[in-house]
Amino acid sequence: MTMPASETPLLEIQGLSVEFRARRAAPVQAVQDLSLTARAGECVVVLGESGSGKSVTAKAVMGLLEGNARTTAGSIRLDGADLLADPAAMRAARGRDMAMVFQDSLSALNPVQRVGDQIAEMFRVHQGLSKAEARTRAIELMRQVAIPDPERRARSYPHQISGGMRQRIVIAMAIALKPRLLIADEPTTALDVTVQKGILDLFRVLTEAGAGLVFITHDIGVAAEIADHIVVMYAGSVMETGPAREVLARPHHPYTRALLASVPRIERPGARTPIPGGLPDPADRPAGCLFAPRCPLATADCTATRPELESLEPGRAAACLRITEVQHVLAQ
Amino acid sequence: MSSPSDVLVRGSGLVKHYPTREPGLRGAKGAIKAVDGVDLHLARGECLALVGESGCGKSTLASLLTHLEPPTGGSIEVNGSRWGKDRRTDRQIRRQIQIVLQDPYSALNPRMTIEQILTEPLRIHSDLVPARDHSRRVTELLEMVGLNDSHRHRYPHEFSGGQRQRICIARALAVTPRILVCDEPLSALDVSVQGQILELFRDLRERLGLSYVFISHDLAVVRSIADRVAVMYLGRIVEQGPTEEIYERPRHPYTRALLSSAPVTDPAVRETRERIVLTGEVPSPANPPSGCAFRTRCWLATDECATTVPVLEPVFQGHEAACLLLGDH
Amino acid sequence: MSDPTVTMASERTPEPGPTAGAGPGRPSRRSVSPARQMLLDLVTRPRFAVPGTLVLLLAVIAVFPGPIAGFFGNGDPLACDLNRSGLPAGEGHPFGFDIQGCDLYAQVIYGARPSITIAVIVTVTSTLVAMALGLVAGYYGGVIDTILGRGIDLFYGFPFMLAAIVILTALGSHGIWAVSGTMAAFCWPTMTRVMRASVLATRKLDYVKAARALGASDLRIMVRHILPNAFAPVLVLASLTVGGIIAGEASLTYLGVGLRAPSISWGVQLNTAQSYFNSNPNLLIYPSLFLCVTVLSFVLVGDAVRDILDPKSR
Repeated sequence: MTMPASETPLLEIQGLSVEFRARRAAPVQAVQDLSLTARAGECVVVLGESGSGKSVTAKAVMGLLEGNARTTAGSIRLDGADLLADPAAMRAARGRDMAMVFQDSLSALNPVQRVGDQIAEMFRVHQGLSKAEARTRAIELMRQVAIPDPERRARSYPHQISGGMRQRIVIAMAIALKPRLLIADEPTTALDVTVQKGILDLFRVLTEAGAGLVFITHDIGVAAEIADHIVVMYAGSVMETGPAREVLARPHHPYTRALLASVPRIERPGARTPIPGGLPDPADRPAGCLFAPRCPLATADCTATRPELESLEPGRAAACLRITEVQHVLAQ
Repeated sequence: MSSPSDVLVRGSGLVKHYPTREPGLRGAKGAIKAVDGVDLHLARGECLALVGESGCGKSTLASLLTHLEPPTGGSIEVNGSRWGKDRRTDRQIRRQIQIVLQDPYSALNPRMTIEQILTEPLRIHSDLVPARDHSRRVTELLEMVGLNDSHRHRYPHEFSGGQRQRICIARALAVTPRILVCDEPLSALDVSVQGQILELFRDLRERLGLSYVFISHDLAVVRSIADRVAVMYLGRIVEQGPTEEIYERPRHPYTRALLSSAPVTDPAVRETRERIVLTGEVPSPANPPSGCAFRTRCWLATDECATTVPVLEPVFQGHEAACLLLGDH
Repeated sequence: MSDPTVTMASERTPEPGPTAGAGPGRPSRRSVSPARQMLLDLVTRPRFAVPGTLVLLLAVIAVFPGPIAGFFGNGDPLACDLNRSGLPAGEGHPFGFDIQGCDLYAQVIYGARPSITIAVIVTVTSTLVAMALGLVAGYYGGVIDTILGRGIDLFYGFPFMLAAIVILTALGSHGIWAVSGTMAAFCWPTMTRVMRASVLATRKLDYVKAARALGASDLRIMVRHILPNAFAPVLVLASLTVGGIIAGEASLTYLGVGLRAPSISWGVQLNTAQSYFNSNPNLLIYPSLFLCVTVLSFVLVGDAVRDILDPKSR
């Protein structure tokens, strides 16, 4: 757990593609050629809007894709072992080496079991602890995720506690077996800002303790609060990736730039520039660059050729045919 | 402060309690105090934002302002007429104040075409536009919200979230209101679409001279559109004033905590700002704390806060806060 | 985002530009109303095709029994000759003869009419009653809702068969209307409950709120906004009920409290046939076969309707 950010990445996704088969229609490409690296003690944020493929990516890593979805290409390596090639390794890793926190904490918990018992069950099933030992460990864990008065709270049912506390319980269950990789899919979206703050702080503590974190969100502010590294997705593909500070301070891809310019920011009042147009139809995506129909820099070439993700400087990459023009503007 | 004639909406002593009853034959009767004594006013052409966390009563206040529910106590005047006086008055007021709801996916009847949806307000208020001009009016409304006239024969499911919200806005505008109450109008939309709708609100305000009561939990959005902000906590307004004044010099501890919790994109700002993490949870509106409702989570609370209910007191021009310790910090 | 194909489908048409109303990106399709789309989905469904065709056939039989019964040349069910009592199948008489010496094929074909007539009357009246009462109770709530709720509870207190037997015996009338009325009396309460629950769910939706904010009258809200969006579950229940009513009618008739001879009906035929099963099993087999196929077809059609109208059960 105390391993420093090392050379061998904890999670390495390469060229992942996921498609959904639809009844009486062509399959929909939910994720196309996604690559992502997460290291221990680091938080990678996957930032995207609805239909960007960010949640599908999370489910693919956990091996929790729905029946009509399947991975068509790529590899997902956890500590070097390919999880897609070996379903048994995937099953073994789930829960023990990697765990997931979902957006809706109410449906993630069993409504008729006390929350303390639900955490304790993790220890009883996976580590064979006795009832009393498991209970002690559960209360310890609840204290660790900053739940006040854990002895009393352990006896509550999920509906009796607030959304923020419930999300903490879900996180406690996810970290119970000390997984090295945590995947969080919009874990604070349903929460109020003052509660969100506390949960984000908790995730930071967990990464500082050595866990790798893949954090999925649509909220740029939340991404900025927690990310070490950002992967910007749009319509199933990666647009830009790089260290969080760099991407947010000097975005390169026109989509990232437009998004940052359109979203109101609390620290910078005043009118913003909205992005024209809407998200592409997943069943009928543009042949060229996915963002071309809304992009101010798009040329005829952009509507014909799909750009590849190209390295800009160490650790940074963007998929844009007009990246030199952008760099030119940035240099001025 | 605005002169009385400039006040378009005035709510006085607004209270909304929902009766509750413990299970069992002799269960104790109680009430959820969703709105518990709110005075507010909206000036002509102004955008007043109501902010606060879930359960603070801001959405209940929206349904009181549009008379979707009658208040338990207090009264609301719109342009000099009081809601609930008689049916004729209510009908007249409905033309002046309209509501835009949060979820554009459930706010449009799936079995009606866009034309039917936009014509319905004209049928309800049949003296507004003669029937032969309904079609022309629909075109006008669609144009107003940036939609193509050829969309009129389509059904809601054929539109994206942003387009649906535009249709909802067009429906509200059909009766030529002066005031729009917008209840979280952006939170169901995609980030890149939110900006467009926000821009539309701005544009409509300029073109039609609308006034807004803008309800949102997103403090960044509020800062970009509101002239004045009222912060609510457990059914009461704890602080209100001009937007920049509230954001730059918040006086109530809750406002300070709320602003410090909002995510900040700029790393430089993030590292220098005040950091307040609130402990505890929002108390139940069925059983709010005595005295100041915020005292259970307030890091400054004293014994006096448990016994005395603070009232809004002026701290600066148009800026008021309800805290007993205003002088101390 | 449990199923991205669903979420994404809602984002089908592109956002227009913020300034001018840019049209949708693809050439304009014909807009199909949700109701028509559902009907289209229903009839193109393979699981609907077989039972659907059978139901259609049964409807034709019920409306025009003459030509179909006459297919083998002896279409009059009342052209009986005691001399031919209980004779087996022969030329022009594929099912043989009953005890009265009537052509069994013609009898069975004519027997479809009362069953289906009763089923239609019961279903239509109870659906209409349920829609009206459920709408009013669900929309207004309060005292009306409470009174109706207790009334329905009262009906639930009676076991259906027992109550139907008691009422039909007391009535002393055994026509189609008496049987239909009795069955409808026990059919509407369940449907009303379903309708009421559906209205309660629909009433909370934002488009109802928006209509109220615009000042729409209660009647307009109920008719334009709630009814079209709330009746689907009742329709599902109704289509699932038809089969049960046909079976119930046959049971009542068999027990001797429903239709009686000289009415021609499957229940009457079964009632007579029971005493002759050892000597003439065909008297029991053919009417039962028709009854089973009819009930099954209606139930399967009901299933298909539910699949379309209630996507959650898929």
